[in-house]
Amino acid sequence: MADHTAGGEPDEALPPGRPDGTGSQTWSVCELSDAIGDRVRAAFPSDVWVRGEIHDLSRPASGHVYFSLVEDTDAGRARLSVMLRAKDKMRVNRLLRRAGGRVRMTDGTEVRIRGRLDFYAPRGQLQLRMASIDPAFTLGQLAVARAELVDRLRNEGLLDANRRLPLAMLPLRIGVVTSSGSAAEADLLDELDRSPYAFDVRVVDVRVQGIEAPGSVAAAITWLGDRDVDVVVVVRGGGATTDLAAFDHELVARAIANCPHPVVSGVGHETDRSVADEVAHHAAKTPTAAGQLLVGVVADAHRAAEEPFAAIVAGADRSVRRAGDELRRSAARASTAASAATRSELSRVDGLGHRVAVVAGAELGRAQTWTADSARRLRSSTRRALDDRDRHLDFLGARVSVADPGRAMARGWSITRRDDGTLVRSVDELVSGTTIHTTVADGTVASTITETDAEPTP
Amino acid sequence: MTTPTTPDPVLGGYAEAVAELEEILREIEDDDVDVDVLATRVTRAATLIDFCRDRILSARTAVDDATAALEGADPLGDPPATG
Repeated sequence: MADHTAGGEPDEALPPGRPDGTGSQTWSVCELSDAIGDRVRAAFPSDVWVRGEIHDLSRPASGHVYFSLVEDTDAGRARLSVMLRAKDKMRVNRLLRRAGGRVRMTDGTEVRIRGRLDFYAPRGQLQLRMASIDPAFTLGQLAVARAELVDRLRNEGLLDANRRLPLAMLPLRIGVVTSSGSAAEADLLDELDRSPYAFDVRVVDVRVQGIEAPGSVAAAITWLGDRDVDVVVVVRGGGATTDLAAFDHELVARAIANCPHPVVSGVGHETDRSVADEVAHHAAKTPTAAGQLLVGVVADAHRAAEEPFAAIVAGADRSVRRAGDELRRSAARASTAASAATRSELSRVDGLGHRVAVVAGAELGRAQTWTADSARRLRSSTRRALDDRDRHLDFLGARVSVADPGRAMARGWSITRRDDGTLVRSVDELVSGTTIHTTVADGTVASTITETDAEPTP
Repeated sequence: MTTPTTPDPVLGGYAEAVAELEEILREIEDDDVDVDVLATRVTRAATLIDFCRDRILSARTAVDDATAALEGADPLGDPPATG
């Protein structure tokens, strides 16, 4: 590095100072400043391109932009003051916009700028009046630096060191590295809050942009590494590529690689991919996506825990349904069988009833016939018996009639009695003069015996 | 002379009446029977014969009625209406 502090005799090419009475040539500050300015302008008559890292960028109300371009080397740090006048700023911004807005002039950004060197007398500073910028340089530098860092980490076995850590099944204790109050923080916490799970969140406020950002982020990751958390989440909202430079920084990358907890990154927009993303356990594209990822992991665990129970419930449900189906089929079979059996029994009973009716009818018919026959036989036999008795009575009556004296008298026979009523049976019983009473069929006559004449018995 | 007495009423049934009639016949068919007794017995026999004929007639009527009902009975018929 050139020795900018060298003194010595004035260069003879410089305009002479006024004599000061000491015999030496003495410059006033203005004279010297002007002389320096002249020399600088003479040495760098046109614009020069210079590269370095932006430091101490400020935007005062004047509309100008001031910063220092810094280059650190083994010999020390070199610094060049830069002023971007308001009227040049529009052109620079236009160039930056053409680059897709991926480059923004912030502290820590490596830039290549063009401008005119001059000496700013009021501050006694060599100053570059910036006129233009090369965004491609910045992007390229970042890409190259990123690639180199990734290579180094890979060579050291750190690129997937964090990914080898097991992620807790229920990562509910979360350490968050972000800028407090940022949209990124809000997006992440909102995602976690909207889930049904009770996340325990510890937020570590860090600078996510600027020169201090890498150290701040790395320190926070390291600090959370010693804390009782399940996972560390590093989130930052989107911005220019240069805004996310901290997440391409080696400090941050190593902090993530060496963190004992899985680190989830959620940095920038979806198109951005930082070194932090490369070394993280999981790289979410946005803070919201980081929240969704964690909720998803917990939900998976939840489901994994619920699934066996759900499977048991489903199995039981299937068993119940199968049993129900079987029961219904059995019931249907039983119903069918019972119906068939009932029909069969009814048919059998009907058959029996029919047979009973037929048999009974036949029996009753036979009984009726028998009864009628019996009645006829009874009447017949009874009539015969009665006729027999009638005839017998006739016979008896005839026999009685034969013995009836009335019938004999009707044929002319008579009965003779004495006065005392006794029957006269023999002539020998009578003497003359005896009165006798003779009864005939129609009356009785009295007679007196005048003579008896016994006749010999034939 | 004695007047024939009114025969005793028949106290028993047909069989007793027939038995009495048979006895009367045996009595009156004896040549030695007194004519007065004969008349009485014949009268009694006539009463018994009338009694027996009446019983036979009653029996015949009853048998005819009963057997006619049996011959015309419907074993499965409705019971006789009452009231």
